[in-house]
Amino acid sequence: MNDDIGGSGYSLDDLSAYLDRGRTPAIAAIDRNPECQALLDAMTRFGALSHELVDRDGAEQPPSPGWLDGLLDTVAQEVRAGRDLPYTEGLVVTEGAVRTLVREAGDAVPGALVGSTRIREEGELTRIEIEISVLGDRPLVAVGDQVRGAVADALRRHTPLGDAAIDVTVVDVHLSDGAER
Amino acid sequence: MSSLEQAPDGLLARRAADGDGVAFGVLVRRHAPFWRAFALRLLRSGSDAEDCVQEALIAAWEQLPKLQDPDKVRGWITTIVSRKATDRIRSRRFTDDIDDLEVPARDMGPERAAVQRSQLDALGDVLAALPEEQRTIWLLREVAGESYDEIAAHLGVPADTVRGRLARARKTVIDRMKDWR
Repeated sequence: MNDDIGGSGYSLDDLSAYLDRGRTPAIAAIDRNPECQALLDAMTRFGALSHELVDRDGAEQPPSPGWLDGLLDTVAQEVRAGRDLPYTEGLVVTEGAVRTLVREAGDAVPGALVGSTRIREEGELTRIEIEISVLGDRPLVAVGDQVRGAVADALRRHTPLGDAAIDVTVVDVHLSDGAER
Repeated sequence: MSSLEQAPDGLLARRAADGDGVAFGVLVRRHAPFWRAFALRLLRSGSDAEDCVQEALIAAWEQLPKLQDPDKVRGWITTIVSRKATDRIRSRRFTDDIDDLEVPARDMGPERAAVQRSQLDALGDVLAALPEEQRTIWLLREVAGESYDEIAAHLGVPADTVRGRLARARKTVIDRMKDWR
């Protein structure tokens, strides 16, 4: 079985390496040989099934909730506060705190989910860039405007960044079940 | 109203990179069953698998801001899990502490055994019976989607050795799964 598959002149080792090279550059003696094709198909199929097997293992033997909770507690201790932003004299607010505020304000807009946020200094001006995903059936521009308004309002109330420029970009549309479109 | 449970992986990863522990938690709960099952297939010990996933997730949390393509976060973390698992496999070789390994648990009651076993069960048994060095490479290649060079770096063996062992594993799997082809 290993030496010369179906008279192609290629061994199973060769086929295995060929498969992992994405079958390029194409080798006609393999591509036109039914025995080689059957073996390549079998390798591909059992490879894909291995992925399915691990998915099924995970669904049938889920981790205990206690382990997951403990794990997330451990991770939560590694908080990333980010750099300090100047507030009034002698007082700072961390970038992490501003981002949290931006996410909370944006998420509160129906149909919006905030993704990444960036805070840039442009001379005197602070610019806050917000990427959002919008629920499938919502009007993108209206939701984007509402997010900008909600974030501006929250910044004015709680931070020294009330004059910041706010850019909202809709980068994604999400469906209600977590799938992307 | 959108909630984080509906958010696509990429959005959760971007938020987690910004320091949002809640988004990271949603991502972890979504995929932890897969990562734990993957580590269990590699390490064959429930406690080792859980320790390994925990280490991987702490590392992932720290490195998330550097992740180039947040939409591929699941595969990226799978690779970190495989790196942590192969570190353990390599250190076991030195301590030779492989006595108390558990075979992945599966309910094999009398009724179950009488029923025709599914293709996935058969594949699971074949993979469990492979020599460890072949099984590890199979899982890194077929489940984590790693290249020969990546696997070689994890395991500290030449890429040619990876190619040869994977071909032997494929030959065994195809032989033993021939009833399912």
